[in-house]
Amino acid sequence: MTTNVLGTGPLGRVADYFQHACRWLQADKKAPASVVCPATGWLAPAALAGLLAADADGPDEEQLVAWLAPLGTQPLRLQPTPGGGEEGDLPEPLPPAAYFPNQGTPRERAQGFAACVRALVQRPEAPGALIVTALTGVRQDDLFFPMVSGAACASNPYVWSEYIDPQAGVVRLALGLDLPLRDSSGDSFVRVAGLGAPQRRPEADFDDMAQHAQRFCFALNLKTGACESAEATEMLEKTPALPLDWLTSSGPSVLAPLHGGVRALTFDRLLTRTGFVGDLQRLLQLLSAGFNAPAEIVFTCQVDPAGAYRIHLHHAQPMADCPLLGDLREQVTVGGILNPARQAAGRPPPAVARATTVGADILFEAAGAVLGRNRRQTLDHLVYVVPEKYAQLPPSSRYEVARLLGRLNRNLPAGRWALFGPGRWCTSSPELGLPTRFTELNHAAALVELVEMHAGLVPDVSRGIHIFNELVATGMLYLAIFPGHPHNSLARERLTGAANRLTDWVPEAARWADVVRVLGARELGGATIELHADSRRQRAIAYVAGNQRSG
Amino acid sequence: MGYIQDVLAVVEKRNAGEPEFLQAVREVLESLEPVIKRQKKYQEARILERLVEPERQLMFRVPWMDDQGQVQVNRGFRFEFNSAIGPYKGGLRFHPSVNQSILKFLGFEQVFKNSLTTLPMGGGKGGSDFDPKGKSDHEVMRFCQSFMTELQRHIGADTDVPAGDIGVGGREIGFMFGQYKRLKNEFVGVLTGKSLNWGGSLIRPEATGYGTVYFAEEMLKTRGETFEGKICTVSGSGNVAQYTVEKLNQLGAKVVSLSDSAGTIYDKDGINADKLAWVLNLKNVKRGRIKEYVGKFKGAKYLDGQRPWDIACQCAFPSATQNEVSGDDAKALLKNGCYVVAEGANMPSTPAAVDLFVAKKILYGPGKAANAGGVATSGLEMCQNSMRLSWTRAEVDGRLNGIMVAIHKAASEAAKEYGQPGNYVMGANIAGFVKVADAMLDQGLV
Repeated sequence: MTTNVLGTGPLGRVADYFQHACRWLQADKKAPASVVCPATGWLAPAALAGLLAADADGPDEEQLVAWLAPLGTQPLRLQPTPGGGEEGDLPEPLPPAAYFPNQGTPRERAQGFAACVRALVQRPEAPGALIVTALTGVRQDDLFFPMVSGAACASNPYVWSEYIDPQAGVVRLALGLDLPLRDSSGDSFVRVAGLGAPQRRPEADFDDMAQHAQRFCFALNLKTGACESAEATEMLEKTPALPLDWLTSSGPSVLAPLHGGVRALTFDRLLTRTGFVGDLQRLLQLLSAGFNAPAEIVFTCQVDPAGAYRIHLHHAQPMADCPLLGDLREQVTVGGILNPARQAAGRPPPAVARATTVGADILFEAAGAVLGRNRRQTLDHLVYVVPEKYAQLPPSSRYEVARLLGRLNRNLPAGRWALFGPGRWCTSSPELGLPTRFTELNHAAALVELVEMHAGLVPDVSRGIHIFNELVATGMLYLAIFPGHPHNSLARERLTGAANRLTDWVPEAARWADVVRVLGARELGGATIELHADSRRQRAIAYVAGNQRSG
Repeated sequence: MGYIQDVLAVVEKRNAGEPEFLQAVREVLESLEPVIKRQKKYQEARILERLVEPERQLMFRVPWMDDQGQVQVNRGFRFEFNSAIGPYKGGLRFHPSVNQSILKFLGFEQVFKNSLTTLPMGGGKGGSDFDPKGKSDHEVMRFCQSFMTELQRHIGADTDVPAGDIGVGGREIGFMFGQYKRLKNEFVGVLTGKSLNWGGSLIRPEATGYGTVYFAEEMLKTRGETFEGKICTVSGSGNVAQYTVEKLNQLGAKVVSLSDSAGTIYDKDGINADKLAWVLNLKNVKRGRIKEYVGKFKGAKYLDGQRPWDIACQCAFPSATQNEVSGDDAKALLKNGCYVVAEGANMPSTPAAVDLFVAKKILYGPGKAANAGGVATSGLEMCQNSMRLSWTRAEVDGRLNGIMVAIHKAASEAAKEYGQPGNYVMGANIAGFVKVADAMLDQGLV
C-alpha cells in the first residue's frame, strides 16, 4: 500500500490511519465487497516542501510523471493531512481536499499537478503530507463530479429522535464534490441520515424535504482545473449517466402542483433499498475495531441504474472529535480542560488547581438532548429569555420578542454567544416557544431550549427536529435543559441578577429589558464563558472562567 | 360586572389550565361588546355561554405499531364546536404540542372564520399529539388509519368535514380518506384538501392570494378606485405572495417587492408576469432565496434583512408571517403614502400597527377577512364533492371572487351598522358572530 510514495520524511499518523484501513479492508474477509480503496499515492513532507520551493531538493518532472503513472488518468483528489501533532493525539479535523483534473500528456499532468500542490500548500494551514487518490465519477461536457460524495462516522452526534441509535453511526451524502458552500444562504443542504434509521427524516412532508435538499453541487472543470458550482437540478437533467431513481425522490408538491411534481436529491432509495447502509456500518465497525476508537471515513460512491454500487474509500481515521472521556463535571471541577487525546493515550489528566470551586461558577448543565459535534467553545455572552416574563406575554408581543432577537443576532459577534429560552425555538406556534426564524438566531453558537413554558403547559422537547438541517449546516449546538431532572440545572439567579446589557446592543429595546437579558462574561463575574458538549453522552455544561470574584 | 365579564369569569372557572382557549375567548367576546350591548336578544338567549361550550368534544386513544414492532399510543381529539350554520368544518393538526386547550382555542376561532366566508360551514378542530416528523411513510399510514378508525364514527359529509392543518398534508389526508372509505364503504367528501384526481379542488394554492386581492379591490371600490396603475408592495414569496402578485398584475397594478426571511427585493420597474414566472420556478422548484432575483433582473435592489415597508406605495400586502408589520412599519407605510393594507398572512400586523391603520381610517383589511380565500376554497371543495362535479379553474375563481365580495359586504355593512363605517376589523368580528348567533336563535335551544 505504501509503495507509491514520493519524497522522504514521515507521512504522519493521519496518513498511517488510512494505510491501515486499506490493509484491513484487503485482509478482512468480513469487509464488505462493495468497498474498494482507489489507486493511491503519498506525497511525503520533503516532496511537498520541495515542490513548494521548486528547488533542486524537490521531485523533478520525471519523478512526478513516474509517481503519477499508477494513479491513471482519472481526476485526483488531494487530501492534505494536518501538520504537526503529538504522538498519541487524536487527529484534528481534516483540512478541505483539493481536486486535480489529471488530463493531458504525462508531462502536462505532472506540471499541472505541481502547480495544484503549490496552490494547496499556499493555504494558511500548511499540510503535513498529501494523500492522493484517483477519483471516480461522471462527466458532463467539461465537468467531472462524483455521483455521491460522502462522509460517515461510527458515532452519530445528531440524535434528533428516540429511534436513532447514536452508536449506529451517521452518513452525510452529497451530489458532486464534497466542498463547503461559500455562500451559506441557507438554501442548499446535504442529506444527513442516521445509519440505524436511514428511512427517518426530520421533515414533515415532501415540500419540507425538498426545501431542505441539496440545491447546488460542485464539479471539477477538467479544462480549467477550477471547482465550479452548478444547480443540482440542472446537473441531474443534463447528465444521463446519473441514476435518478437511486439518488432523488419526487413527490406531490403543494407549492408546485402545476410543475408536475418536484425532484429532490434525497438518496432515499440508495439508503433504504440497497445494502449501502449495511455496508457502511460493517466498514465502520471494522475500522473502529482496528482504531480502537469510533472511525470516520470519506468516500465516493458510484451507482448503476440497477442499484448496484461501489464505495471508494478516500480516507479513514478515528473520529476527529472523539467523544470526551470521563465525566464532564468532573473535568470541570478539577479545573483543567482536559486534552482527550492525552487521556486516550492513557496519560493522566493535567489537574490544574483553581482558586475557587468551579461548582459555584457553573451556569448550566444539560443532559438528555444534545445535538451537534462535540466541542469546547469559549463564549462572550448569553442571551436569556426569562421564562416567567415571556409566559405572561400575549402572542403578538412574543413575535416582537422574536424580532428583537433577530436584531440582537445581527449585532452580537457571530459564534460567540448562546441563546436560552422557554419552549421551542423557531416554532410556528408562539404558545409553545419563540416564533423566531432561523435567520434570526443563526449567528448563535448554541441554542438552548428550556423545557418549560408556564404552569399549564410544558411542551415536549423538540430535539431541534424542526430546524435539524439548519443546525447541521451551520454547525450550531442544540441542547435542552429539563428543569428538575438529574444533571440538568440553570443558574437562574445569576442570569437574572447580573446587569443586563440589552440596550448596549439594541438601544431601542429598553422596554423588553425584563424579558430579554444579554449577559456578558464580565457581568457574570468572569472573563469568558466556557461551553463543553458531548453529544455521545448527551451531556453539556457551561461555566464562567477567569473568575473575578476569586481574585 | 357586565354580561361579557360575567361570561368570561365563568369560562375561566370552567376551563382553568387552558390559557390559549381563555385568551381567544376573551379577545373575541371583548370585540363583540357593541353588538351585545345593542342586541339584548343574544344575552337573553345566553348565546355567549352556549358559544363558548363545544357542542361535542371527543378524545380517543390512537394505538399504532412502529417499524420496530413496538406499540405506540397517541391521543386523538375532535372538537365539534358549532354547527349552527353548517357541518362542522376545521383542520386536523398532528403535532406534539396538540392538547385540549390549543384545539379548543383553534376550534372556537374557526366558528367565526367559517361564518365570515358566508358559506354554510360550522366550526371545529381536531388532531393528535402524533408528530409525523421523523416517522416513516408506513408509520404515518398506520397512525392515520388508526386515527380514522375511531374518527369515522363521528364525521361525515353532512356532519363534520375535517381538513388538513399543521402536520396533515396531502399524504395524511390520502391515508385517512382511504381508511374512511374502507370502513364506511362510501366515497364522499368527508375530508377536504384531497388530491386533484380524487376529489380535490382547483385554485387551492392560488386561493388565499387571489382572495386577498379581491378583498382589497372591493375596499378600493368604496372610494371609486381600481388597482390600475397602483404601486403595490408585497412581502413574502410563498404561495400567498406569489398569487397575490399574479392577481395584482392581472388587475393592472405594479408590484415592486417580494421578500423572504433573509431580505427584500425592490424592483421599481415592477414584477411583471415573466419575472413572476421566474420567481415561481425559483421558489417552488429550485427552492432558492429571493435575493437571487437581483442577479437575474437588472435594476432590482436587494434590501438585506429588511422588510418592504419603507418602500413608497399606495397598497401593501403583508403576506409572509405573523407580526411582520410593527407600529414603526405602519408609520413608515402611512408616511410614504400607503392607504390600502390587505393582510394575506395570519395576523401580520402588530396591535400597534392595527390601531394606527384604524385610527387613520385607511382601507385596512384584517387577515380574518382578507385571507379567508383558503377557507372558502375548502367550502367550494365540499360543494363540488356534494354535486359530484369538478369545476374548472375559471368557475372556482369566479366563485372565490363572489365569496370575497360577500365577505367584504358583510364586514362593511356590520361596521356601518355599529357606527364605525370602514372599520373592517370591527365589521369582520361582528359579521362572523351575528350570522352564527342568529342561526342559533332560529334553531331554538339545542
